Amino acid sequence: MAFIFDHVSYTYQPGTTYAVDALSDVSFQIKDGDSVGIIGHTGSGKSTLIQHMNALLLPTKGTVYYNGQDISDKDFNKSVLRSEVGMVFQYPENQLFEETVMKDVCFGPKNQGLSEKEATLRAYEALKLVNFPDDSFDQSPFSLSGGEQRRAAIAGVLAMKPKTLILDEPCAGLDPAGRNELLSLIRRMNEEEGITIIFVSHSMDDVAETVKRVIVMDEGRLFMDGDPHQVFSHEKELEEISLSVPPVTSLIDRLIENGFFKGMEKKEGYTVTTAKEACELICSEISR
Amino acid sequence: MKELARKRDEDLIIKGRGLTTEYFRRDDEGNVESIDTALDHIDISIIKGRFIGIIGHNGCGKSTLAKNINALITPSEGSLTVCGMDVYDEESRMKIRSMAGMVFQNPDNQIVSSIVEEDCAFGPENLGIPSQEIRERVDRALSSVGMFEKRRNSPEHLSGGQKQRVAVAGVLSMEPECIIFDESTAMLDPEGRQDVLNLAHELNEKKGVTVLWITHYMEELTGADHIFVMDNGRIVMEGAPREIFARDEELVQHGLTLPGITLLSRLLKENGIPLRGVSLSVDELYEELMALW
Amino acid sequence: MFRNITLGQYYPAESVLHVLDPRVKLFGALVWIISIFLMDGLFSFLLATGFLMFLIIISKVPFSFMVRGLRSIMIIVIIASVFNIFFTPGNTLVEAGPLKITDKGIINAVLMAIRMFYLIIGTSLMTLTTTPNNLTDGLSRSLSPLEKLRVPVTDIAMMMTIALRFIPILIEETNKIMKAQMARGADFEHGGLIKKAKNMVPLLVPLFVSAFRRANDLALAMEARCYSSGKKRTKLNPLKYARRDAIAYIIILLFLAGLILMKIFL
Repeated sequence: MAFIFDHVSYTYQPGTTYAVDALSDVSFQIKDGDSVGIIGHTGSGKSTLIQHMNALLLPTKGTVYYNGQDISDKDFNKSVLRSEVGMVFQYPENQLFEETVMKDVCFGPKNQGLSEKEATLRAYEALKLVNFPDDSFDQSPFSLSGGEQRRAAIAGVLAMKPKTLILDEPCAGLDPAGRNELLSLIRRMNEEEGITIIFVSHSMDDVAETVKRVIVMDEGRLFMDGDPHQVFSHEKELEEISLSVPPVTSLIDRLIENGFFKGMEKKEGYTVTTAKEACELICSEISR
Repeated sequence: MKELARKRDEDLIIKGRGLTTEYFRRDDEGNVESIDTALDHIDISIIKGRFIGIIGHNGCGKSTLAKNINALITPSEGSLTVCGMDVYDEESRMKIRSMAGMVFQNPDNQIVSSIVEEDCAFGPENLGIPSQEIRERVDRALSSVGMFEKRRNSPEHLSGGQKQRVAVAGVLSMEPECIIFDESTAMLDPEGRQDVLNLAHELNEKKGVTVLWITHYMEELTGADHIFVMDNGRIVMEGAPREIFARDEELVQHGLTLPGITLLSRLLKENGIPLRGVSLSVDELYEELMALW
Repeated sequence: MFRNITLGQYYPAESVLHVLDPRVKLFGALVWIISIFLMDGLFSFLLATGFLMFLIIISKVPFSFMVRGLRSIMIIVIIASVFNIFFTPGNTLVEAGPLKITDKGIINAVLMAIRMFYLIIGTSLMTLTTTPNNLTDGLSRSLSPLEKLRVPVTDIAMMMTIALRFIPILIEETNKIMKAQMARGADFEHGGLIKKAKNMVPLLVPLFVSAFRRANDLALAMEARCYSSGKKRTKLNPLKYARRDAIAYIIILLFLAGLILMKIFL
């Protein structure tokens, strides 16, 4: 069990007039190898939540366990946690600072105490993993295109060989091609490398095609938790917290509700999230 | 194109012929190392009062086009008139900038003042407009973007969508004929994105402001009157949304993706379901499918 | 880490001091600084104290809020006082090795502490009751005669406005980058001075890059909105004197005159 959140609450600036409850009474578990999407609109507590997974924030109430250890414990080794849980922040290219991409990617592994040689090896592997073009390894990270910068930054985190990778809005600002490439990279890291993925986004579409489980946050509370099909079948509830399901899902829901599919009523836990699934469903109905 | 031919030049708010922008990359000694052609002999005509979509992947030249229209850069070659003024004419540059205002991508990096109404006044202040009139313009602009209540606030505590509304008000206060939204939704959450898009449509419909909506999200262009697709510094496709969205293979070649609903209607057609054409919205496809049944 | 400093902060309230023209308050602050040097007798101290108390009361800013801002200054005041106690010649009261405490030393230390507190409270009254933007306006208008000497006062005012807008953004950015690098194992807390400075590189480089990018974006956005440096600009809310400003000027001048008279005749 990678993470256990046990009745976790977090308050910014507690005891002052500026006190804000960012998380209240959140409980859930994340297993090794999971791929989890966390969605919610701006200010729903997503960012606060993931910062607990890296011990950048500690709960004001409740407990967060990492591999069975309480992260608030005095003896808890934060640097082990941070090297095992990689964090890709929003616009991660803003953290690039070295003269070359290679050196920048080496920064993490070196901080983990690896030798120059080992770090370079790790960096090489990581850059390969994100499909970074070979001939740009020694370029200045500031001369790259936006999409390349983003991949270099993600490689900088991957080079630390994290068991869990947290990505906060990784697709923000990318064009469709960049986005597709990144989403497939995330899937590959989970399926082939076995890395636990925690993917924060406010785009339902991105989440629907990438992860196996979705956690919905609203006003600091855990609003829903389940596989994408289950979660997106609650269109009405999601709309109430101003989240909209992918348009395709919404179309199929309306068709079901109005009796387009014979003998199929709207069922809890059944829905369609991608155009391909929707096409199959409609075609099979019409050919009947 | 036929329609354009009938239109007289006065109806064109933007007219470019052979418009070219080249960026010179120089080495340390100032010798030209390479030339990037950001815009490659573009012909573009935009009719007053329209909602125009300009789409293309990152680096296709769409922002360079916007900067040309706003007279922030001068073309390397070709002609360009905006609101009847020549962009090469030094004297008209300020006038062009006030007539074709621009809303940028990053909401934080375009708000100048730490008070909403003072930011909104920035343009008119630069134009030397008397205080009394600035007051009237600012109040009007803030009301039409729905931010009048927040006029004394600091932009710091506004959401991304609200900041972009303030930026739009800052352009409106210069009383432009045309507003260019240069990827103004790229950094917003879905709510803010919809919010700013709706605002642009509202300004277009109610105030007759010509809108140039630059984006890489196809789904934002379903309500546009006319779409230009750009790639490699050229305009590669042009037409009404329905025509453009129907040419999905070409779009993919240019690094774009179809919105989910359009994609679904394409897949259905491929599978022999008799739909009329591509669908642009959930409502449209829903009605068509229900009618089939 | 920047939240505890109330010095230079604005406290929103509705008081006479809040609505005064910023130029009056700037003048008042200047007079107050001068008066600190003028007061040396008991009566001038009483006059100044009375005047300060009067201002604090009409400002409607809670005294506790002002004092909170003083905490960070406390250390400086204490150090300065200690130096005064030990290093002022006079009649020795207590002696311990090379250190002597004299009667004059104690008086000096007390006077010094009072002066510093008065200086800080008086000037922070100005910032507490004036929005930074208003203060910028006042400053640029007060300095506008310098334009004849080719000092680019409007540009400087513009720079101050932008600084006010971007300081909070850059502070937030600093925190973000710090967290991102900490997540990559960077250490900003441990090690000696040189090591610490070296560890700052991963923070400072991205911060500068981002600041330059923002500056670039902003310059473009400003140009797109017809800004050009050195050009005459109009204002949305031009500063205008009201009757209360004239009264305030008179009160300030009377106070100054009172202090000068005391200095001469008492």
